[in-house]
Amino acid sequence: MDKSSALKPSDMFPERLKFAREMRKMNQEQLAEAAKLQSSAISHFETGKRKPSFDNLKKLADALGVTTDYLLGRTTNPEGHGAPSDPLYRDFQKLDQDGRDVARRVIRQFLPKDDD
Amino acid sequence: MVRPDPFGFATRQAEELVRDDLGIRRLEDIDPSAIAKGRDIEVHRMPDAYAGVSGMLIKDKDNFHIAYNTFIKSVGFQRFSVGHELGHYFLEGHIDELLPFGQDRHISEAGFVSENRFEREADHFAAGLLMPEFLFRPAMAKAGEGLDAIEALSKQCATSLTATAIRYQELTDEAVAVIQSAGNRIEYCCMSARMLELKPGRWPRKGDLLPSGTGAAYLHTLPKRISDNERIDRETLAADWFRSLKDVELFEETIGMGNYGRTLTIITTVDALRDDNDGDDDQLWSRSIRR
Repeated sequence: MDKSSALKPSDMFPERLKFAREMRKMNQEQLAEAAKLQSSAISHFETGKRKPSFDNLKKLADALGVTTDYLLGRTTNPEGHGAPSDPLYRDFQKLDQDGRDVARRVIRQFLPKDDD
Repeated sequence: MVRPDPFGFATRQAEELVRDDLGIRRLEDIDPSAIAKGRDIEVHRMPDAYAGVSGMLIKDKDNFHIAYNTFIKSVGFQRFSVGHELGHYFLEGHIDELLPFGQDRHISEAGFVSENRFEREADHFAAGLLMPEFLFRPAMAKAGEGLDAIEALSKQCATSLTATAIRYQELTDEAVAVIQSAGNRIEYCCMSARMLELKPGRWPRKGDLLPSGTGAAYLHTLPKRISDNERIDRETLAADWFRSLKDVELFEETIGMGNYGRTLTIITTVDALRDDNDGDDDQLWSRSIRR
């Protein structure tokens, strides 16, 4: 796939964040307060000037009552999830089979078994 | 001379987390697992020892988990691994690098990753988390100098000798070089700003053979010397390590790092100390003869 044309996971975040905030009828200051972030951060996220961290993402999703996957555009359902689990090991795809097996065992051992 | 640090922002973010968000005031109170739990991140030991993966951040719906490996039996290494994964969690921009957006795409992108910028950012975050400057500098002032200081700080911070040494050379005002070696070859060398001001010329690089006659070369002649944590301190000629410093006296301290199989060498310059001490010969003398 051509890298230049590929969407990044956070590319939909600005739009989804703004949509979710307006859906909850909150202004940027109210959301910042609820998420314990600086008020300027919300503006920067919505205009794409700043990319969120996972910590930012989690705080914003909790404050808005939507899922992190919704804010990332991985599902169209505000309460839905895009994938059951993601091993966020950067070079996961580069691991040999033993490494991938370890990663999968970690996930199987520790994560809840429900698949809703 | 001030060296720009392209990853300094990651270190500073971790320091701000420790100081401002968590209100931690003692190095001994920094517990990366507790910091993770404070963010509802569950921390697990990996079920298998696998040397290829030191740690892992897992996103499960809206929940996060950190798993760390125990193949290196060092609390310091394991704490650093958890701190590194916290770096991926807290640093902006890591979502795009870490989160698969469909397996095909991720595989495709992997080929474009030419350098491990995000891993280095996470490493700098971990260093700032475990050894924040606002706590580490005062501890350095009390810890003495050279390898003794690094060993004391390593115990205080529960960090590995290597990680502590790297942080020490970043923050010290002295001329210090840190060299880690495996087998008879150098794995890396880093130097303090003051050491670089001495213009050491070409310094030891990854893959270089250890200079003969150095303490590190001596320890690597017998693996047992390393596994027994043997230590050798000596004065040496700068030309052994740095081509441009022929007239500078060096003080070299090397220790075997046990099962890790590496040696750590701390080099300081006696000349630099003499400048610093401004004629305080007693202090210089005591340093030169110890061990």
